[in-house]
Amino acid sequence: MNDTEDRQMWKKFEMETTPLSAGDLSVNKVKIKGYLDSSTFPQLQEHLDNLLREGNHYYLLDLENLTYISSAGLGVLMGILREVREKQGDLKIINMSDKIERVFSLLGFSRLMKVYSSEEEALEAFSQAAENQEVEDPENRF
Amino acid sequence: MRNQNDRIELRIPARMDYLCTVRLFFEDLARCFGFPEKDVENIVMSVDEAVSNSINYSRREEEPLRITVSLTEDAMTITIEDAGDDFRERFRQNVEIEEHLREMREGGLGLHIMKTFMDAVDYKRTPHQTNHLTMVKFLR
Repeated sequence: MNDTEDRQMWKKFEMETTPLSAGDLSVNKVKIKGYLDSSTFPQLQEHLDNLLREGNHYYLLDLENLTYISSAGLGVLMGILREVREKQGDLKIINMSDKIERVFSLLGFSRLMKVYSSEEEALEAFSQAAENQEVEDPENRF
Repeated sequence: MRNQNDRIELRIPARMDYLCTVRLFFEDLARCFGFPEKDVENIVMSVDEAVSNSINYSRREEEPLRITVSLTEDAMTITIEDAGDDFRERFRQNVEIEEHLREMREGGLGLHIMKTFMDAVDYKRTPHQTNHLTMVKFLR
């Protein structure tokens, strides 16, 4: 990517949501493009809040085209992670750039949110976790 | 050769939609100054956090934020001035990152980022009821 393309991307923020399946689970893949800072985070917050209200508790965030994240953006991710985990759901991440990964690592976020190298791998992990949960759930033992 | 103490002053509207412009300015400046890429990213993120805080707590939206950059041979010093509320108490407090993560708190990382990513951060409340936040990054 050249400098001009990078700058054009910085001027906007876009999201694209695609419904996916992981075994019996419905997973929403949310692709985030551009920069996520104090001026743009309310858009993501509102979008994810709406999805949560509709009963969606499994999220796959595709950060391939996320060029910047500030503490405001990290705060949105933290809030959503807390909410979905309270509802036994989860949030996983794919395609994180080195730049964003460094921020996650320095601030300890990489310990909370698992990053996968591909969509297939993340969906498999969702599916596996759901199977394990069923086994562990006493109501489902008999 | 760089002068002993070059100064650059920016005045920007106290609005979040100017954050991107501020980041791009500091990205170029830090890179041209010779900082390694990781330091460029650290400076950009710290300035973004400081300016966001200033805008968030600004009492007078119509007053622009003043950002001053001082360049010496081996350091970049950035001062952000605003007419917002006194934040001495918030500045003194240090974030316990383990607790922050355990409780999955959504906010309060801005100052932690500045203190972690810059070499020195200082805060002064002036007699004119303005805030001066100063951050330093040394060129190694």
